Amino acid sequence: MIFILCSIFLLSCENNQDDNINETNHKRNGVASSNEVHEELLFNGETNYSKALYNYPMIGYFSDKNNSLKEEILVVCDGSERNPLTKSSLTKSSSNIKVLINGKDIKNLTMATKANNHNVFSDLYGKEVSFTLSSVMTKGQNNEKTVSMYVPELVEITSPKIETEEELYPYCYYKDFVIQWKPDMKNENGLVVAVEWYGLFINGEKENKHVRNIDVLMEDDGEEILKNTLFNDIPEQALCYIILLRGNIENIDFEDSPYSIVGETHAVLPLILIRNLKE
Amino acid sequence: MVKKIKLNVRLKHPSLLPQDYIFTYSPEIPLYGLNQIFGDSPGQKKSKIIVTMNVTGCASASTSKTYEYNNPIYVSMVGLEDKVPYVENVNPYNQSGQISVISGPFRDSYFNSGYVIWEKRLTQPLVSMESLEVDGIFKITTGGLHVYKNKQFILIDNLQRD
Repeated sequence: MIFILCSIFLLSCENNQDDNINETNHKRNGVASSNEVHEELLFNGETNYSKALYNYPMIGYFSDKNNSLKEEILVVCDGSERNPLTKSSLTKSSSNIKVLINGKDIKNLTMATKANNHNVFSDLYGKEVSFTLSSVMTKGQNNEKTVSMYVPELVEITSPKIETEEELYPYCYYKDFVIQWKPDMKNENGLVVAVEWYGLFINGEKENKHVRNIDVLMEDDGEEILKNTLFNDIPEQALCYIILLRGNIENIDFEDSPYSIVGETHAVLPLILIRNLKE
Repeated sequence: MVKKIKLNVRLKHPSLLPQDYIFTYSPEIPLYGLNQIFGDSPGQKKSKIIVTMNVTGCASASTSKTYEYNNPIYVSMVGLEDKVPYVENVNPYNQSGQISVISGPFRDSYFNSGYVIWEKRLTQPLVSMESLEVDGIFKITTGGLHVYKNKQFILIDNLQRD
């Protein structure tokens, strides 16, 4: 049922065509040669993230940061398609809806970086954020809808802490893996955690396999021991990624069409998986 | 006289068996792409080319130039496909000198961390040279394997290696 529970974060991992998103996602997706994703969901039940299941066009924003050393980038969706807009797709957008976030045109927000647009990020995360949709096709009519919701603070993995280039791709033992992050006590939605493997090993060998295991952490308290099964089907010395995500989502109808309103943030930890330690 | 010259430098892989050595800072294959050396990997910006020239004549002097590479610079200077960085703006009549190419951080498949260095002393004036082939050497800076386990990195010496 929750097959696409994590489509929120997958959105920002898929097939974007230009700029930094393309560059960074190519790192993750470029090695994936298998079209079939072996996906396992470790969580059963309804969460706020289940609203992403409906596969409605997305309106909102995502923060994209592919490892701890990368710069945070904001990408947006304007409802024209389910994937985020890139700089090139922005001009081709076919959306008939004008979207304002906190009163600002959503298209002016895309590709903002945290370093250069700190105020943008501080206004969009850890705050109550308003999303206003208005029709630009209906002349003489003022059709408008506003949704407000709390969007959690930017998520940041604090342990394993990666601070230098040399620490990228740490070796991580899969059993009782403790992950820590900056908590947001106001976030009532918990977090999504996923481990993804595109088939590559440290020794350069490559399997035609794509594994994605997903769980939901109910408490945003800053620490969790991950289930060992989150690393299922990922072998020794595999280059894989832990993705930690939190956000908010509301599904609405506007002019007889459904949309998902989204504010999301995720952090990625690339790692080399270690299964066998002689102890 | 200083003349603009391009010297093709072909960097060879460190002389280890392929299965004994691997780049880990980009999940891409092949292993030999210079984009892995010159900062195409996330966060990696330390690769550099150092050209040191000794000028001989009525007076002696030396000069050194360092190119620090990140990805955009690398692309414009080197190109995506070839393995040939260009050394520009050096005196072609210099009698001796040295070129060094230093990679960003690498690891080998025995979990050692380090970097690769390509060094070559120039034994003839650059003007008479068209290309240069340089062997790479992997230099270990950190041995052993630190594995993240139970909130900390612990040193593991007896990791099971297939």
